[in-house]
Amino acid sequence: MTPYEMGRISSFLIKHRKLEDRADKRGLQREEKDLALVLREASIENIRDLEELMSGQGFSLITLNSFDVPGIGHGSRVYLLARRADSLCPLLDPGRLAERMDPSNGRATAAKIWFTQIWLIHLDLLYTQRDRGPHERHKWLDASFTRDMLEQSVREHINGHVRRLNPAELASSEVYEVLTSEKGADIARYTKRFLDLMCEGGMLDERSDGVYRQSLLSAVEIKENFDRTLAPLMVVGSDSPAAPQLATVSHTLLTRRDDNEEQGSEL
Amino acid sequence: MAHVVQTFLKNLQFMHKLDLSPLLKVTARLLDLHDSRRASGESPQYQSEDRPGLGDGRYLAMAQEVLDVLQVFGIASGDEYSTLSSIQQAVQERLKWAIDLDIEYVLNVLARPTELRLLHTDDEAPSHVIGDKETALVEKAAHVVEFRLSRVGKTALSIASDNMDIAYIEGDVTKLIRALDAGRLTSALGFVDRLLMQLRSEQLSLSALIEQTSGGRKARQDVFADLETHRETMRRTVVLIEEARLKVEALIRRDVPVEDDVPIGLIKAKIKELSGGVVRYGRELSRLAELSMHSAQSSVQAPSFRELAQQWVKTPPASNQVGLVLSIVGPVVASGIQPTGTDFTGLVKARVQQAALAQNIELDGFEVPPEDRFLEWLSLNQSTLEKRLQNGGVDLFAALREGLGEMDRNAALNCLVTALTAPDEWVNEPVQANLDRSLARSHVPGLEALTSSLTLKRASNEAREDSHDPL
Repeated sequence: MTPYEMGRISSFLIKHRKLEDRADKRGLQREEKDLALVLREASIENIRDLEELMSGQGFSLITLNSFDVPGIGHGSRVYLLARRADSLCPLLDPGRLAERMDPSNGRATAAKIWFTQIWLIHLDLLYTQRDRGPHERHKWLDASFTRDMLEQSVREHINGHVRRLNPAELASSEVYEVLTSEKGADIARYTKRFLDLMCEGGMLDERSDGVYRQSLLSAVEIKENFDRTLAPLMVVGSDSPAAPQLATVSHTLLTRRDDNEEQGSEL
Repeated sequence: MAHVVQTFLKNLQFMHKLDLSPLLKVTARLLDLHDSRRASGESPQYQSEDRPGLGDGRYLAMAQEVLDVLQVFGIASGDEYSTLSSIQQAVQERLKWAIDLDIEYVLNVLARPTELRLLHTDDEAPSHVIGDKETALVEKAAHVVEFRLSRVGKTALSIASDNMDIAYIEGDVTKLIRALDAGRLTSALGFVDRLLMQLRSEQLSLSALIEQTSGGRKARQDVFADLETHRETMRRTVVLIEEARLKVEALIRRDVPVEDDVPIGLIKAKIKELSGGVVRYGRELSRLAELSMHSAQSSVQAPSFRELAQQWVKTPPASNQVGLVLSIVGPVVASGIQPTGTDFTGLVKARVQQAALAQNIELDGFEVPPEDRFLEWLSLNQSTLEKRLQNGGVDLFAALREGLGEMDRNAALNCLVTALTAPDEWVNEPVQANLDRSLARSHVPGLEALTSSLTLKRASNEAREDSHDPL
């Protein structure tokens, strides 16, 4: 692998986050086929160099084959560029969430709230409803849902839980305010934008009209990074009596919130 | 036959329990398709789910025992027919509730052939339907009520008892080795393909178990009870696969003509893949063993993301906190100017190959140094040395004085010392050398030498007896 080829592979992976080396080659781009061949013929030293290059940019280069995870054919390989929880990649932009979720109103906070809430509900469909732990990468092939299912879950969450909360206790919660001000078509509109964003970001694949499945990249990233991202927040949120001490410590460490912090900065 | 029945009953407790359910499971839907009355082009929905029968599974349980009993009887008697009463007695030992008439009914059903209509397709000829009546699992003797397993029945039992457990992988690799020994590459390819498929399936199951265990979701008791045995099996299997690999190498090296069309390189590549797979499987077993030691004693439920969403309605986390989470596990797209291949071309200098230094050696002008010209020196001076040896001995100082330490006006001290210290090169009789501590200075061309005295003499009789070493 020449430095030029390594640069091409790096560029392709940063853009698509996935490079497939399949025997049938159907649906693969021309560039992907060429780069897959380069990677297949690369020496171990070359692959190590590429891993280090990617590591320096905040990624882990993960190579999977048919012995690693279901969904990869015999003799095929998939190269994934997973983000690392310990270093942020400057080449990726998560800042367009609000813009894409609510392009007309420009209400960045409300857009983020909608995205975050739908995102957690979608994780509930992919993991909790299937009795699947975040480390269980191998179940990604069965992790699918329809747009209707997601909409229904979000509706149940808002109508069945959020609207039943005591408003007096939640006067300062902007999340409560945004969700309860939902009009009839908001859920469908935000859900559609959420799904488009997730597909564009490579987290979901649209299998057919209105049917979505978790991508292998998403399953891998959740497995690799759950313990350092969401797990501490779930301990904070847990009501179980077994975790109060850790929850207290984690809350202090993770949030460090100022009492006077503006509500606009909350989600 | 009574003796056979007694032996059978005695050994009953040690026998492997036959299970026909896998056979039934894999053929049930195929039979549905065979019996389908649907015309081509009709609705794709399948609705006739009714299965006639009592639904108590009694006859199937009896059939299982009947076939098992017939197999044992057949082994003991060399495929002789068994009487109805002996079969009934043996089956009733296992199934107390089975009555004679029911067992006979089961035997009659198993012995009756049914015709299957199968579409036969040739590569060139048009396809056509053929009838196959070889379906009876039991053969009934003519004129008497006696039974034995049919050829199809034996095949059925062989399939039912075929153990696909990874614990028996050694046996499968041994079959592969035997196939390679015999040069049957088609069979070898079949074995190695099946092994790879089985190993891949087991590897994925193991990975799933590891993911559940490492996530703290799997109970400790769910992990293999005999992990160490499994690991030992894998270690032995690696050795066997290495043997198979060597067999392939030998086939390639000897260029043995084989009748099969299977390319040997394909088998070699698959064996290499198999070897890597087994090594990895063994390693993952070790990892699982390590994980299971630290895992919880009971299973835990998957975390509830809906509860987290509800929690965040009441007590929202800080914006930057959520932003951080989404930047790591949320959707992102590449932005800005990304490095391309050409960005790297200017930064990395190509390695320049050093021009090899030209070495001009003129052999014509090369002069061999005096120390490498011993034989030449010896041919010039051997007669002088031998004369000196006959007349009392060769002394180093005297030889230097006579000019033996030089050749062609160059110092040849090395040659002289070599001649005195290694006399075997030019003397055929026993000699002895005496080294004196006295030192003397000598001049040879280009060299000022300070040497001790060294004298070479013919060995006396006493000296010959004292030592075998001339020096």
